[in-house]
Parts: sequence; structure tokens; C-alpha cells
Amino acid sequence: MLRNIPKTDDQRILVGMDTLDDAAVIRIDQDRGLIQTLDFFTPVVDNPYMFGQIAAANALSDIYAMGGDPFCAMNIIGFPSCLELWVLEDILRGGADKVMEAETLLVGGHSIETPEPIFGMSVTGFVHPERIMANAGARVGDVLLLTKPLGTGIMATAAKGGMLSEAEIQAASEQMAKLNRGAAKAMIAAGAHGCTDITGFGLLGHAREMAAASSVSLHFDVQKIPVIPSAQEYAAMGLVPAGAYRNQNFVAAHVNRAAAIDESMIDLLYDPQTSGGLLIALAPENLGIFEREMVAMGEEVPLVIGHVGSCPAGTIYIS
Amino acid sequence: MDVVTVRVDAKGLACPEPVIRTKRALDEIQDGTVLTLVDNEVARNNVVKLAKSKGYTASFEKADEGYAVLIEKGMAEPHEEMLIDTHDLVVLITSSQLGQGDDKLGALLMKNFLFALSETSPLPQKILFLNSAVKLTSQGSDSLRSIEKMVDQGVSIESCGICLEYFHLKDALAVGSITNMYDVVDSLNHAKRVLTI
Repeated sequence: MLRNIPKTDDQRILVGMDTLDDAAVIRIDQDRGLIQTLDFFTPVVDNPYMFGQIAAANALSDIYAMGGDPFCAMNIIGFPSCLELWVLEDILRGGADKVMEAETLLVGGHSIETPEPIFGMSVTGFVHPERIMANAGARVGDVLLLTKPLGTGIMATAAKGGMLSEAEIQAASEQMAKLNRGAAKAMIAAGAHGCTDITGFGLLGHAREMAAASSVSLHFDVQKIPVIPSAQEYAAMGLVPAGAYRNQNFVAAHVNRAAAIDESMIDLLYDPQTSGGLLIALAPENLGIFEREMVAMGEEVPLVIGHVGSCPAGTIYIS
Repeated sequence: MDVVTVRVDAKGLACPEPVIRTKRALDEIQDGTVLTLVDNEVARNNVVKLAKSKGYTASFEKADEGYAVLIEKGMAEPHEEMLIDTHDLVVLITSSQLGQGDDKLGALLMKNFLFALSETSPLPQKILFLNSAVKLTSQGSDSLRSIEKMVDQGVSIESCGICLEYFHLKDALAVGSITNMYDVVDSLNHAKRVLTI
């Protein structure tokens, strides 16, 4: 459907609609590219404040995934007339607190009445035009890292079914509300080649985008991929969101997997993530720098989950 | 079908209600069967997963406006196969035509073969479509009716993803799911009998 949007050849567009990247980047002068992105969705958790935090972290994530710094943001709000206003106040407070944590300016927003709550943000950031962390940057021989565990879609489904304890809900919410800021700083310091954040298309959907854009193959080791505790158990029970099946239908033709992998693990790899982590492609000799920087940021050091190969372009291998 | 202990009508319910209600029904009975009605494939797949995770037998067939998933609890030994009829035959189809010598005749023979296959009993467990055979599972194929009839009775239909891409049919797959070479080899290795066409 995006085919029908008229294309432009404006040379200032450094990253546009063609490479399916996380955000758009437009050159505004020699040293600065403007990053523009927006994201919004319906509630993924019951707590309005946490919903605001998660939606804000999710919107900011696209800036970090491009290797940039967020600069300012505006709220995108939809709210039903039948809900009490304190709910909206909490959502906005959650969002505002997260924007402040990211040292970004919240400068306005727009709201309309909708049948169910919607919240998100439009975010502007900056990046040096020569240091964009694009989808298309992964190089053969790079190692792959994932900075947040998979499973938020499955956990949200399990939560809707009343299966989660308070502690499990809290843990999953905290993962989603976490900024990718520290991980982004570490990957920039380590000179990463390419990056994408893992959101609605799941690890395999976004990996496919990276593989296709970079003309490489991505190889994953299932044992090393971080997963939210008990998410695999819930997946095995059939608490798998429709989005996971959609992602699978869309991408499966490009995925080769060892037969021994459990179906519940496959579901996790296709599980649509909310405010997921960064998938980073990094030269192996820079892994030490990346790990040191992560520790310096107070972040957990992620395991290497795979590597970038050369053929065939656009394919994914899971073993 | 045997008498059903509990019937769960999950049509029109949003995810994950079909799984939750089925789980509740299963937890409440000592043994017996639960029949869950769903109106979409996602719910069908998820309810089957639930049953599998508990070690129960599950099978499904098409029903009005969707699928009926039958789960049996309290069997002496958990069954390995999830299909209504357990079979040991995997059919591997490697071309859209049957035999060599004349293309038109080959296409006609394949159509007749698939029709005859759909009418026999027992049905194969799985049919794999490779190379130009993926044309048979794509939109416009005149064998779709026969293949769908077999899907309705629990036969697994799988078409090679790379082949679909090659023939530009990735978005035209009309029946069954997409598979890859690892799964194909795995299916062939585990089959008791393989018939290659």
C-alpha cells in the first residue's frame, strides 16, 4: 500500500521510506541530520502511568535506534469521553516523566476523542549524517546483540487472560518502560555498524528488514536469545497474539530453522514486541568496548546472539 | 463424534479468551472431552497449543463459521499425533505435472491424482509441495478444491517458501502453510513412508 505514495528524489533525505528503517533522517546541514519519528498505540498494561511511560519509551526508541539523540517531543492523544480524566492525567504524567528522563523537551501535543485510549509521541532528534545507525549497515562478520529480552506480546496476552502475577506484570512493564538510551550510547561508542529496534514485527520481522536492507544473512543461536522468564511457558499454552502469526506469515519464507526448535520458542521469535530492545550489528573486535560501555551505563551486558553472514542476502537462519 | 463432556463456544471472543475458557473447561473436568468452537485460525492454533502443552490429544475440523477443536483429557497414554486420523505417509510433490512426455497431459494427470488422493482413506499425514508444485497450492490452481478437502480432514499442506518466491507466488499461496528445507528434511526423516511424485 505504500507503493501509491509519490516518491521524491530529494537528496536531503538520507533515510526515507525505501529502506523500511526506524525513523526518517533529513540532512539539514553539514553536521546535522534531523531525525523524525512517531509512534502511538492502545494500552498494553492496565496502569495508566505505566502505559504513558511505555508509550514514551517506545516513541523515543526509534531515535536511539538510528544512533541519534532525541531533542523534542509532542504528545499524540486519543481518549474516550466515558473514562475519568484522572486516567488521562496519569498517562500524560507517565509520558512526561519518561521524556524528562531522556533529557528531551516536551513541547506540546494534540488530542481527539476516541473509543479507546491511544497514546504516543512524535519525536524529533539529531544525528551526524555520517554516523547514522541504519538498518542497512550490518556487515558480514559482525556479531549480533539484543539488548532487551523477548516476550512482551505474549506476556500482554497472558495478562489479558488474567494469568500473570503482579510481580510478572511489573517486571514486563519495567522492561517495556526502559529507555534504549544506555544501549544506544554504548553502541555508538563501540562503533556499531547497524541497528534496528525490535517492535511490532518481532525479532525475526525486524531481522529480515535488516538482512534485506544490508544485503546480508543473519544467523541466530536460539540458546543465547534473551527471553522474559515464563514467556515461553505462556507461549506453549497458546497465549500467542495474532500479531505473531501475522509476522510469521509475512517473513517465514525467508527464515530457515533447525527442526529441533520448540514451537513455543519460534512463537517468541515472531512475537510482536512493545518497546523492545536494540538489535545491534557490531564488529567482533569492538565487543569488548561495547561491553565496557554497557557496564559504565549501568546496563546489563547482553550475550552475543548471532552473527552476520553473506548468503543468501535477506535470509535468516536459526539454530 | 463421541459425546462431548464440555462445549465451549468461543466464536466472536477476543484473544486470549478462547484459550482461557478452554483451559477453564479442561481444569474443571477429571477426564472427558472439550469441544471448543472458534471463528479464526489464530484461536484454533492457540487452543491446539494449549492442549499440547498439557499433554492432551487435540484435533480439529472445519465447522460453521470457523473450526471445532476437540480435546481429549485423561487418556492413558498421551498421543503423539494431533490429527484426526493418524497416518504414516508423507507425500512429496516436486512438480505441477505428473510424469513426463506431455505438459498438458501432465497437468491433467496431477489434477486427477490430487482428486483421487482426496477421496481415499486413510489420507496422508502431510503433503509437501516443492519446485513448480507450489503452483498447485497457489491462487488459480484447479486442484485447490481437492487440497482444501484434505486440509479439512486434518492433512498438513506445506509449500516451499523459496519456491514460492522464485515463481513470484509468495502472496498467492491459497492453502496450507509455508515451509523450508530444514522442515522438509525433518518430515521426510520422521515419516514411516514417503511417496515422491
